[in-house]
Amino acid sequence: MSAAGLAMVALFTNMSDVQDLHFDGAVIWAATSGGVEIYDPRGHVLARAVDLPNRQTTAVGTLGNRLTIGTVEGALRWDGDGWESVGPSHPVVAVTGNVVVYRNGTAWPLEQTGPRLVDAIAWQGQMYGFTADGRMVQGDREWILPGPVADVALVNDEIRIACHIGAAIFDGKEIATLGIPATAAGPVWGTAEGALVNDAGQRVGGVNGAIREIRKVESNWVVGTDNGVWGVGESVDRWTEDGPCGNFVTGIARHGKDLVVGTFNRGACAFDGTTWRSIETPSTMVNDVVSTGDQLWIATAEGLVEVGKTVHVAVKDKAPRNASGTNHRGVNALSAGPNGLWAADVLGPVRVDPWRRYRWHVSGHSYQAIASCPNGEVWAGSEDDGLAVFGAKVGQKKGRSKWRQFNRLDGLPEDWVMALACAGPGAAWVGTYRNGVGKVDAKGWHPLMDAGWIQALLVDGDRLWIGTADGLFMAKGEHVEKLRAEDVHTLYQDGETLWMGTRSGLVGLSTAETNAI
Amino acid sequence: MLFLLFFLFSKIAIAGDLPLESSTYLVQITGAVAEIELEQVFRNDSDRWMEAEYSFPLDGGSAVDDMSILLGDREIVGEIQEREEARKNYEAAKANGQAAGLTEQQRPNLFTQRVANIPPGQDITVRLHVVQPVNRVDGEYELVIPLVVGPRFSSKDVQDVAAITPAVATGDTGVAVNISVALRAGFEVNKVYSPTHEIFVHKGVKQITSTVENIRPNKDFVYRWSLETDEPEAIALRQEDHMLVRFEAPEVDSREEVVARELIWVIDTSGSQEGMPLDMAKEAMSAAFDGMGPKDRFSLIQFSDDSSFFSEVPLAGTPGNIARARIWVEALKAGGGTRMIRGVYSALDIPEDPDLERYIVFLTDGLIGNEQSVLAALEDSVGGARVFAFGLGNGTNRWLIEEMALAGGGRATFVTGDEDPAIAVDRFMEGIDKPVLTDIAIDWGELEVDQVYPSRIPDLMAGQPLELAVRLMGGDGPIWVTGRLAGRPFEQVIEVEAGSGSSIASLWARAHVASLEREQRWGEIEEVKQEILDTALAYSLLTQYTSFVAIERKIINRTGDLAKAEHPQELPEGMNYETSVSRRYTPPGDPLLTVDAPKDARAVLAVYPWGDTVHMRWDDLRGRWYDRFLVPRDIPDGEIEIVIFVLDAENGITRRVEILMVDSQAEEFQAWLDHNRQFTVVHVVAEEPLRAIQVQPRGRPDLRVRINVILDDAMEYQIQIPGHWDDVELLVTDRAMNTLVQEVTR
Repeated sequence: MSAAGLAMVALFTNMSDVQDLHFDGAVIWAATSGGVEIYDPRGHVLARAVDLPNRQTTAVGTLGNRLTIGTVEGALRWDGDGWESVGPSHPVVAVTGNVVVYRNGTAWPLEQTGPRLVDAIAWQGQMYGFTADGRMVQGDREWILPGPVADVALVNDEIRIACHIGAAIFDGKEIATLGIPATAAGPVWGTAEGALVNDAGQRVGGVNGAIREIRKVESNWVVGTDNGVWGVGESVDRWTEDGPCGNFVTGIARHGKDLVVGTFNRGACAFDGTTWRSIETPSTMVNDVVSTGDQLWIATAEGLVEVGKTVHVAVKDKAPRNASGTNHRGVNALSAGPNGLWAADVLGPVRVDPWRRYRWHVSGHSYQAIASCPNGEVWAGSEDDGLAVFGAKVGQKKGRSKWRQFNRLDGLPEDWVMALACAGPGAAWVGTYRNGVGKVDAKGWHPLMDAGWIQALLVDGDRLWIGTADGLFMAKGEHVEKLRAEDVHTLYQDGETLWMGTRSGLVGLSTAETNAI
Repeated sequence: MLFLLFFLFSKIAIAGDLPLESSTYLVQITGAVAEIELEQVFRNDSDRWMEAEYSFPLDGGSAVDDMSILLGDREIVGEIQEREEARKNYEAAKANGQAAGLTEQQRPNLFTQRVANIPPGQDITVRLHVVQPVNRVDGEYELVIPLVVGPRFSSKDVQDVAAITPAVATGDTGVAVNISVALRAGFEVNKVYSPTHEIFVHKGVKQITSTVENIRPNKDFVYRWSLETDEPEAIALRQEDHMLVRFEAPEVDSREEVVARELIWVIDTSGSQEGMPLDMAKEAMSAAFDGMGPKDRFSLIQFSDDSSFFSEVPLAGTPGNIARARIWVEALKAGGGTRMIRGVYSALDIPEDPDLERYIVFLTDGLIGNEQSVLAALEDSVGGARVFAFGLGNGTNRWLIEEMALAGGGRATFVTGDEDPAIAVDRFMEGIDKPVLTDIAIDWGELEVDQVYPSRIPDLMAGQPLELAVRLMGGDGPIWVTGRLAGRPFEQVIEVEAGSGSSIASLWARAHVASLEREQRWGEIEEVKQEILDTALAYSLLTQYTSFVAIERKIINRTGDLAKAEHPQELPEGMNYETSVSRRYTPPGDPLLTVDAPKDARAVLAVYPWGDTVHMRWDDLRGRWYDRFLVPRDIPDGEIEIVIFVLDAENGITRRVEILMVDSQAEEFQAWLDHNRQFTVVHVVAEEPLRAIQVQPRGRPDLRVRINVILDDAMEYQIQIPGHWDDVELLVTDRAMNTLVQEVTR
């Protein structure tokens, strides 16, 4: 059992969310929240850098003539064979003038401190930093800009600054402001509506996406947006190929031939083996997806979507008990078991099929996890009062309720439960916010692993897969091993493939060798 | 610095030339009735032909009974038509190149004016004739001219969101509002003033003229006067077959014991209450607490996206409870939508105590779109409670607030941003202790009465006026009001004054329509709709089913070119765009930030202190902009500021700051035990307000007791466990849902 037994068999990332563009004279590098994509000047994809120590890239440039990528956890420099980590592990905002500049105002290899930054640019031997609250700082000097900074560019020996609700040009002495709500700076300005406009505010071109970066490449514009990289010349072409709807994956399910994913704030989509297509949901904030064979269910912040049929939203207080709906529109988790589909919403557990919407008088709020087990037990985890349990004799019975409560007074190390998995009759694996993973049964709490942010649990035979903000772990018996360093939000078993939903894409891992072990 | 930014951009908030140049109100007050000639001048300074659109407010009880448009020196008189027909005729004229005007009602106090084919470089004036009853408030008379349409919160069940949510500008829209009031009170006038504007007063022989010029339409104009006599008002004005009767219940002292009171205060904490309105509500509550005593019971409810209680069970007004309630109120923050219905249901769901006189008091701006649902809920479930409503701030939805009070047999009181809410609350607290005029009946004498509105006469509190709109078939002579007051029979005779004109006929028709509209709270009823339509067409009245349309015969625009310009509303003074976060106290995690800004805003930005600037997205379901974000794990505990910029369709910019408390640790608390006769009393003193406390004797989870103290800012709690125990375990949960367990021994 080792990391070698978890070969990556698939990696799907969305390269549309462009954070930075870099033209090195030959090719264009696009840093995105799902890795780096490399294009030739005609828009052909040459390569993708996705197997990075961190795929959430934020900047790209050169450091000592070597290509360097900024990520949310520091900078990576290409050493000819692979990526070498350089400088501290802070989020990078720019790679400019042979310097890596970090969000916390520091730089490497320079020794610099300053306010938190959103961008920086080296000019005339000085480093200019830009803040989210609309300031340009250089050393002890400070200039007020017309809005929070979105992007900066050096053009014709002037700094051009896009400020979301305005724009500014700095000639080294004074700031001139323009009434253009610019989100990208270059020889022309880009806007959130996808327009390219000149200094007079006249539209000179446009793309379908909120513009974040503009580079002049040969006689064309290369435009980075939240909808991919575009070439704007005689024609307007989208260069980025379609991928999953977002990189922050919060739910995974196999539904028929489709692999379905839900994302944190980009909706849900399905992959049929060839192409990705989006699934219509009332909210882009997806918390979970589950298939019950003939039906696909998507839990969102605005209700439970029965795909292709209806959206189940919160019913009114005086609705009949069997009326279709949920207790609250915010549905956080789903679990399909032998007695139908269960949902965890803000107010507690809900049995979805058949509808049993009424309140079970479970204490606690904001239920984040639910597990419907093969023997009919249901375990639900809240943010503030531990577990509500149906069918298993753990914790305390509350009044006439059929649900039992298991919280810190019963031995749970904390009351914020983030993940659950069935662990045989009368028991469940419980993942907490700060206090690791353990098993709960009639005898109480049995700790397994000490860690924070336990975001996903999956039982696979005698193994327990544990997804945390710091990585993927596998537990067998009392032995726990870290297998990958990723921010894992959801796990799904699909034959011998373990799908892992992360902040930066969907990863498929082969469990074949670990099965053999 | 961001403060500076706001002002920097305020200057460029208004882009382009807006069509409405001026609104002039020429008001003639005679006795209890005001007639208003409203002139709106739409100016086209562009080089294209223009269609202008403008939403404007009027008093909810007013009747619009005439309309015309002026093009150069020609006046084209408007015609009342069924709404769809009027719209069709207007659209046809517009397409045909004819000058046209269309006035539609969206709500009884909200109207839309459209003017088509304004020639380049010229203007078109719209004239409206409005009849409005003057108000009687605490011994004074009052005329209110609403000037601003506050941005309303609409849940997704509101069908006509676009019609009731006009564009909002952040700065001065350049409209010059002029008001001239000619007052013929019929008696010697003691005092004339405006609590909202500086007025120029000229006292003539027959009338007093008051003027105000070039004011901004960002708060309502309130005009008050008092008479030399302090006699309670009792008048009956007759114009041919229609009559307006008004009298008020006198104030008398009573030797009867005052019935114990139960006061349920329902406080609007939605985003539009941010700043001045919520500050006013807090001042009002402070005065309310001063006026309550141990015999009173009280409860507090706050509502925005959801509602919560200070205490679900009404508490005695003891000094301790009042002190805790003051802290709770002081900690209230504005944010979220105005889901007033939740506040209504929360208040009505509290079980009634038959031994107590229940008063439900709303403190709100009433800026919602689903007024009928709220009123329907109130009318359906109000039971024996009396409902009072305080409209606090500038640009409140007066019609809704008045209807709420009417539905609950109470009174509406409005306090503008220039007035002291404490005075109004003091008056209310005194007023509810005074004897009520009950069993009111009218003896019409020799008058032959056809129809009277309201048809059911409620009991009246001291000083509370009653206004009756009457249609007569003939007859003559005085009328008598009878009833019981402080245990004795009450009778008052009112002489009928005859006059000329048709304003009272319009007011009767408006009252008749309002009465019919109340029958449609739960939905449209065909027969009722038809009766409204018949009345409106007979009395030439603007209603939800009828509109005024005026069309110039000649075709003046043959270019086929027509640019549309919507004149935006100004934000009511003291108000800003509403924003909210799904949880104000949080450990690092994923709250949801929403902003109630117009759908057509060019951008809504959230600037997070950790460096992310996010373009928020529009959510059709919520009807709001949103961003779901993660508080990074490395953010230390404490207050963080999220700055929100709204760049609207006119390039106007507003800025708001939303505060979030990052709290990842439950604080230590002190606890000790006492025994009384049957119970173990657990005392808890916490360092921070808590959300829940659970207590159990050690080893006896079957005796676990849980109390929820959501939104309670108290820090001292007492929990009782049956039996005497010397060793208990406590579990506390704070507002950010952090928990802590401690053991307590005696």
